Amino acid sequence: MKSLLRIVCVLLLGAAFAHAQEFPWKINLDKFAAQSSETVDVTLDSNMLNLAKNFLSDKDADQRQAKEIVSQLKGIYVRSYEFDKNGVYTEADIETMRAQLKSPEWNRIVGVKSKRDGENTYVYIRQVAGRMTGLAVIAAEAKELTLVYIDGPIDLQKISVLGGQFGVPKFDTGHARVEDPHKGKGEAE
Amino acid sequence: MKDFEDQLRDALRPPDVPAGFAHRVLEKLPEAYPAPRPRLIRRRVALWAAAALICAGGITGLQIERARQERARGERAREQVMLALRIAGTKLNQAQNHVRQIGAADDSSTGERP
Repeated sequence: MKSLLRIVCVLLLGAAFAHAQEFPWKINLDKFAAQSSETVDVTLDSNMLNLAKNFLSDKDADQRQAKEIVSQLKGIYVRSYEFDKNGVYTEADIETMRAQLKSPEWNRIVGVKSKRDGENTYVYIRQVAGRMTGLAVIAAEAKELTLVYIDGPIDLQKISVLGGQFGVPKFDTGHARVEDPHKGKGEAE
Repeated sequence: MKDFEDQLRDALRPPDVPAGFAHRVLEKLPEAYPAPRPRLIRRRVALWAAAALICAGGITGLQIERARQERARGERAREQVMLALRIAGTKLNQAQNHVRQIGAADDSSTGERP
């Protein structure tokens, strides 16, 4: 009986750990989804990424780029909510999300907190033995909240290109100190 | 007692089979059990062929439907990958633009040229 209990405990822990690998944020996002006017919910595990890879064309430049990026990834998870009004999420929600990306596993490379624009953007990377193994982005605007988690080795420059801006300077993956240029209105991070 | 047994044995002894009996029985067999008519055979073959065709058609149909579903799943996954990477890229660019703006503001405040 005890051994059975142990097995069940191990299985439950395993399931919890597996879940932890899927999405780094343990926060109920349903409340945001319920109040959003537009929701993007993308969950792609390694199986789905492999499937998608077969359908990404080599002829299209963006798709070719995406194929290169995806070929080494284990998962992509995006939750994006657009709201009709301000104040759907609180500062405490953002702090809870940030607190769950803990050091030493996660390192913040960019933290922008602009009171003028009402935009808070935090970019975290996960490094194992000097290799980047994950990327997490928390982007909070007045009427929009976006969470991105990419599991696997990733080239930030390649993703930036897919974001629609070519020729941007290469991302520095060291710790960035970012201050809002609007002194007195922004907050140093 | 022994007489009785002998009488019983005599009574139960099978009669001698007349000559040619087996041959005659074998000759009569086709009449008693006639072979199926060719038309009946053709009908059976046709029925089996139809059943086989229906099975093959069903299997092919299932395979086509499965391939169609797999393709739809793959195309949906591709769209989701592109959407997710575009969102991620856009957010990274926004963050990077903020950093650049801050850098530019710092440079202008200290009088440095880029």
